[in-house]
Amino acid sequence: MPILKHGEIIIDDWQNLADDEVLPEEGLAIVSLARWQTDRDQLINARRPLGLRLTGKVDVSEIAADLDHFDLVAVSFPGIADGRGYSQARLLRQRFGFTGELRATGPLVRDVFAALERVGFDAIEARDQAEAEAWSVAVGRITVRLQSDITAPEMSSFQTAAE
Amino acid sequence: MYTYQAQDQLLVDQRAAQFQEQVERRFEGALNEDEFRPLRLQNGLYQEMHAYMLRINIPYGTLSSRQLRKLADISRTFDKGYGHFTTRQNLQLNWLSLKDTPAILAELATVEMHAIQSSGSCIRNVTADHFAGAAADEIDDPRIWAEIVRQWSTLHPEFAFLPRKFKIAVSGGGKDRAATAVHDIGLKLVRNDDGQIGFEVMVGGGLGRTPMLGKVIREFLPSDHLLSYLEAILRVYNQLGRRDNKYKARIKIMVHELGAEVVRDLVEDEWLATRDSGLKLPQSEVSRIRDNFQPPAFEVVDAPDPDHQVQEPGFIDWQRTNVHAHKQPGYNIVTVSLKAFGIAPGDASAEQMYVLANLADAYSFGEIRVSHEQNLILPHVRRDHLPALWQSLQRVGLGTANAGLATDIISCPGMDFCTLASARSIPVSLAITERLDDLKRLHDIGELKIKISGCVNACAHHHVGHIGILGLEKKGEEFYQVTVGGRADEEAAIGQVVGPGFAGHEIPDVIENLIAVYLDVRKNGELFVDTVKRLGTSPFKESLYAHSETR
Amino acid sequence: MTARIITANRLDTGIVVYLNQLFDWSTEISAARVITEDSEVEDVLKIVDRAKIGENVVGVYAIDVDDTDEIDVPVPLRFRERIRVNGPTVSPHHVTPHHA
Repeated sequence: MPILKHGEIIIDDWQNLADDEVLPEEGLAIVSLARWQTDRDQLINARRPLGLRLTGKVDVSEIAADLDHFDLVAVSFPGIADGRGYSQARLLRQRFGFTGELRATGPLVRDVFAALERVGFDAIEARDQAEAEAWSVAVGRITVRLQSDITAPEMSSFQTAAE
Repeated sequence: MYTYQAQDQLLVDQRAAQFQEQVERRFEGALNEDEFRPLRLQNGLYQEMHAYMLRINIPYGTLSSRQLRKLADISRTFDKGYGHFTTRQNLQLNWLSLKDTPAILAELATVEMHAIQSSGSCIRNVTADHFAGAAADEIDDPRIWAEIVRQWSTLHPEFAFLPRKFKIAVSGGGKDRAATAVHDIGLKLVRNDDGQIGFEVMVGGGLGRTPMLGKVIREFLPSDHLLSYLEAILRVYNQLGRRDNKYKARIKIMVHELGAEVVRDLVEDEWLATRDSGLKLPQSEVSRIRDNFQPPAFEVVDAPDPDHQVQEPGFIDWQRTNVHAHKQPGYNIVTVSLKAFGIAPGDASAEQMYVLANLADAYSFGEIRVSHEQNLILPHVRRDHLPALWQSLQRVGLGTANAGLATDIISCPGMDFCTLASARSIPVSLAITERLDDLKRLHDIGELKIKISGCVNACAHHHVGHIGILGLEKKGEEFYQVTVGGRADEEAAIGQVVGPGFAGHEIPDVIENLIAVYLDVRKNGELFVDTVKRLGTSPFKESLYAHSETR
Repeated sequence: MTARIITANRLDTGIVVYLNQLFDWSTEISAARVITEDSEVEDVLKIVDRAKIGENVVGVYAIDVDDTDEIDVPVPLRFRERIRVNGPTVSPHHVTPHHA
């Protein structure tokens, strides 16, 4: 599925590593939280860019101290209706200061792109090429924001900041 | 009333255009039903038994005459010329097609209305006391705070896909007319010892399959922290609320399973981290919103009391039940009953809506309220205008003198319309109304709240009815379980089941029987529900099932 | 087995429809294709799915009907389904303006 980064379709260099797969010699690998917890030292010693996969169940405060080891955090959305990842993203960005790539993994349709970006995702796994290509139209559909979000963290919920 | 700013208007315009595009993608097949469903639900659109149903938000139940006329127009143009007012202060249109709905949303946007988040697993239309701004007992106007919540919750990017629907109600702090104890979050305006305004915060109330009353997790929340505190509750719920079972996904189950104290600690911890962020309400913004809810230009009324002018018994009855005290001398609040004989509770025809809009302009500063009891309210009526108003209401079937009485029944649409229903509700309510169609007797019985839901989802709040009726299905047949002793006010309580269920045609007899017991044992004018409280359910059970050994 | 028919609601208008003999959707229950073999229900639903016959409707499912020889029109066994056939049991009072 195509990956959007800041709205552009990119060639994805990251490889999703299964838990029983050996860390390849080179390239960028995303590991599960379980793998990270088991092979922590080995993964750190490999001195390679690492990504971390999170499911909705994870309390992100538990990995806050480890965030410096990751260039990417991938938060999975098992379906459009499971919204735990929105809170996880906001906490990762705002509370725990994660500055690497924050990727929403789907399949995701255009209708949620704007909300994903507002809570801090800068990369999105789109359902298909058509959805990915619709990015700029989709995020421009609704431009009004009545809440503070990652793009305007200090904005009050109200309209003072928006005019 | 709140008047839209440029960007409020832009938002509803953009939302209508967005839905137009989503509907087109659905028709083209670019979105399948599983993908489209959450999108249409978040615009209030349901596929019901016979057609699409649109639930239009009426934020905290406040409508202008112009908005009511637009609702009437829409019901005539796109539906069958009537609408159904609901227990969540919304309006539902039952006979729509999908292809018309983007146009309807665009029409609504022209009068500052929308259907955003009137369904779906998100923060729903915020409700409030329908007497707000007119009741003498309020600490502050709850609409100011409800509007702040409305804006904050509208398209909140973090909370669009919660474990389940989420309902917030605000009461003005006196008598609880907003049923705050049965909402996911109930906010009650309070004043602390220093005279500051704030909220008592209740969490985890709800009805449905597992009825629960909310638990107070904070006695006093300073009002400028309202949004940071709500956001803390929602963030905790979004992460910890159950998603494995739809029937255990409401916040009430989370509060029940974790315990109110644990939930309070989680919320308070989260709040500590955010309370002084940009979510703290600036005074200037609160004032700006407050300015929208200034009292209308009340006049000093120097006219004789209508009691001395009008001797018609019908008027006197109506005045006794449908006219309520107002904080402004010389004014009253009027309940316009949508519970006329033979009419589905909460239904109003387009013609009635037009007439009421005109009457609101003539007698109530153009303002109308929708109550969660499925009636309409004219909030600011001069006392000396009451007789003329009553006569006009009478002419269009809106003058029924039964507010709060046994025929002021709350009913969901039930299996005549709703795909979720197990049994019909409307015919049962009509049968009860037919049986009790004796105004003198109704007035003698006094306040008696009967609520009928067609399934366990409890849209008609049957658990908190003085008499609650729940429609169920067994082997393809409808049957009805009866509870007594529930109430939704400041003494909120869940009703108790009296015993085995009844067939639909038996319900009027059951109601008669319960009323007869009450009339027999009541003391000094106590209400039905007070008698149940004093004596328990036994006398009612005994009477109902006295001859039922052979059943 | 109990006789069964396939029903859904039209995507555009939301109205109730039944699968007919021509594998098309009809608003008339009298035109419904009546299935009398258990295995056939699944086969028919598969065809509906594969041939994209379900594209213009939502919520496709099978319902039990009474289809004895004496009656021409299948009658759903569940009350709920009979309401879907006949419309609400309460008349929409407001279609003609009501006067008290």
